[in-house]
Amino acid sequence: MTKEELSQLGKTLWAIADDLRGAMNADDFRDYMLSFLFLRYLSDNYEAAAKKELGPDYPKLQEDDRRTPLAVWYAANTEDIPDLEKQMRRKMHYVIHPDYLWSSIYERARTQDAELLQTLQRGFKYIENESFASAFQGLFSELNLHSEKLGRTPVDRNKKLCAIITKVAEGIAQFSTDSDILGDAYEYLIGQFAAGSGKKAGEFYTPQSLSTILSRIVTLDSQEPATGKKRKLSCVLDFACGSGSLLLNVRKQMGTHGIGMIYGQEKNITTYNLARMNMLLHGVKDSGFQIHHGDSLINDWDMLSEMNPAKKVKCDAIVANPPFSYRWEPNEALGEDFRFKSHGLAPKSAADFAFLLHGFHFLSDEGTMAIILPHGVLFRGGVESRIRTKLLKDGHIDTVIGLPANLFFSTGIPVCILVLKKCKKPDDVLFINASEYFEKGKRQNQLLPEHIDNIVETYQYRKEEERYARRVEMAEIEKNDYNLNISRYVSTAMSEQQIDLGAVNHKLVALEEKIVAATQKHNGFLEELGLPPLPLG
Amino acid sequence: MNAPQTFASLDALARHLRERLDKKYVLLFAFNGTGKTRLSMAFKDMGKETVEDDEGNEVTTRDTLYFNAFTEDLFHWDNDRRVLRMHTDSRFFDGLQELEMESRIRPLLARYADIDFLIDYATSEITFFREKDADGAPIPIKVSRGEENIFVWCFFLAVAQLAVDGQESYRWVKYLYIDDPISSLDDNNAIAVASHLAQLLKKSDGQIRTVISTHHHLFFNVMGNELKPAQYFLSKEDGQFLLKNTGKTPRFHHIALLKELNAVVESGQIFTYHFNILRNILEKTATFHGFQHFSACIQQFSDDEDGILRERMIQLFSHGNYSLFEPQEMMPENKEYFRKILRDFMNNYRFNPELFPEPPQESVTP
Repeated sequence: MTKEELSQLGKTLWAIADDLRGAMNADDFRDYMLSFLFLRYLSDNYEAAAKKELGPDYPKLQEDDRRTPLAVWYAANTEDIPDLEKQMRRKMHYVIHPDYLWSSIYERARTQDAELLQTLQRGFKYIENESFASAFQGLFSELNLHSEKLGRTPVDRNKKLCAIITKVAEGIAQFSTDSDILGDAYEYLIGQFAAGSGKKAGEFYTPQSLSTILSRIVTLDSQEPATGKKRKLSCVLDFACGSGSLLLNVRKQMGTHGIGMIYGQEKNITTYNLARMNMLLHGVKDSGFQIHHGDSLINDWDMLSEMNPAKKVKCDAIVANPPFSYRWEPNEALGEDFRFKSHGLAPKSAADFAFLLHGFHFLSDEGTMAIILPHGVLFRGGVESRIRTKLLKDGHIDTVIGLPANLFFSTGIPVCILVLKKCKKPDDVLFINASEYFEKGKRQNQLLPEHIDNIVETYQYRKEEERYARRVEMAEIEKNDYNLNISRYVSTAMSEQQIDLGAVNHKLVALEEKIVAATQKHNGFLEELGLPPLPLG
Repeated sequence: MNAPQTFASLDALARHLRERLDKKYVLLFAFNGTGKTRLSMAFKDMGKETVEDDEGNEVTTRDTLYFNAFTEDLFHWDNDRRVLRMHTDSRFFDGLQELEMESRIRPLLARYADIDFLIDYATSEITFFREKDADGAPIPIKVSRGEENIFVWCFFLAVAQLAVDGQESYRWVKYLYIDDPISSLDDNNAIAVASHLAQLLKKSDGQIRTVISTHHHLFFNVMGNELKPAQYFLSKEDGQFLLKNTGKTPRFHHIALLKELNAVVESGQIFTYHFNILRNILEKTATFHGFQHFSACIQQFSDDEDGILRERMIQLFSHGNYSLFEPQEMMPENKEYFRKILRDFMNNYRFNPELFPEPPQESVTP
């Protein structure tokens, strides 16, 4: 799908959203919209696969026949249904009953069927519980089809849903159904909704450019980044995964089969559901990812608190964009937690280091972790300074990348990327000061592909460049009390241009001579006219 | 109740507050014009100290984070650019950038107003908006004075939160002094502001002590109930400042009045001006519950007595130019109406029973 097509599709969907959401706020409407897109995506793929599977047996319907071919086949081949479903499960990993296919739902919406709401409700339940081998419990739990916001009475709500579904169906019908299109559209809408509301939604959306930098860094060989990409990541983790776009970006860098397992964790339930849908929409098999709903700071995911060292999860790549300077409730028990015990407990006012240490604990020896944090973590004092010092002394901080301000929807603060490794080869720390390389937007600043390439290549080849990147020896960092404030190491200030006084003098003398010559010439004319001359000197 | 303590100057009072009060929270009530704001400044200035830093330069240290009329002066509205400017040299702004204040202020602000904002750290400007344009850029708006005030208050709350949490940048804070947040805020928010502030302060496990002064009864009462502070009434007499311990006496205006009315009904010493007080309470109640007229607060009965009562009342109230200085005792008949109205009112609207004696027994209907 070309960029123009995508943006066109995005605009179309956005216009529908704007047109239809009425009393609803953007966040609520987003959930309906995205759920419908999700259903449509599953349905399209399923129908295409079923068509292929059934071959000539796939019913060909008349132009004006509004039934779905699969429904016709189900009606005519009752006995063969279990076989087909078994086969589809093997191939597609899921099954959708013809009644719940998007085209059936759309048909009900188009004809203003009074049963639409009930059918949709059953359909969503069916997908949660029966479509996939691993049940997606609660996938649509936050989607309230009985919400007052859709209408006061069930009849009103049914009507409103009919309208929304019809519009959405018609809106996307004009675009080709190549398999990535809906995934891309989904991604686009999440971004749009994030930009549009900002209040709530902005927090979970990492700008794609940052996402790309992180993904490209963690997919490079951790010991010798210059040798290029790893061939395979056994697993990747994002412990504050939001809608999962960062994980999907890593997957895109590695290729469809480049990752063993995708792990994600998300605290907000709506976002957690979005993340699971987002994975499926991008063609990740249900067996290829595990997203957990829970709080990373208290580590409520059993898998990550496995006491048996042999079973401990170790990830080859960890990425995250946790909420900045998040206020949390550290307590004594957490102080003894295996993740924080040897480094220290982040202060109540800012959980940044708690997030960092949480992730770092699950990094494999061969792995790379890249995390986006506010600049404050580089220089704040107190316990944060102690944690930073420990990480530095242990040689875990590999690279510090300073980014421009105003890259995010909801905040103007400048942010940085920390690259961490359990074991790293060089003794120094690479500082990249990219804070002045961006495209100025009306409100937000943007990183262009060349800015991204520059950062990633500087990291990859550990390049030094004046006013941009420098490898700093530990001794110098120690001298600075382990303060990592980037401008202390890589200043972007231009040194004042040296002035060659001899050359300036020469220039001034020449000018003076010219003035004298011109005045004399002028005085010559004045003399001829019998007028007093201009004074000289 | 103990006798009031007398102070010759605000400085003396401020020193007393610093030295002698060992409660974690001190709550002062004072009418406007008593010198509350000047007291807060005196308190703050007393915590200033000039010391030499490591490099031998003279620096001023402080120990009080304060909110008062001057806090708002740290911000000013630039009408040409439609932004609120911050005077960032103040220590108030210490954590501004390194602590990502935006996401700390936003949830606080969302409780009071439907505006959003963005901070430009490079220029120290705040842009307010409700909508964004097609490119996602916010469309700047002029916010009302009230919204601006509530924003500044939320800014302060976010900073106070950091101080209470013992955050590095605000380690210097030993005292919080909050002078009348209500006077600059929308009255509707009085309870919300008070209860949010109380929740925040209660979570403090550090050593920060807090002084809160106000002229607002409701605010005073909520803070009093929530924090269980040392409570004082501050007044000025002959150039001296009097500090009187109020104990647990309710100071919330209408409760105090109701107590008085209850007492006069008990004693039978009901004067005509008490109808004025009652009407005042009824009107406030009617407004609070959204009724058109105070008579709606008089319990309605199915029998026609109601009609008589209302008629009688309207007459009484419309002739009610009673003087407080020449109190006239009511006619026995009117006393009976008065009792009935008050009793019905108290039965109909629930007030803390601990504050009021058992309601008098229902008289047997004839």
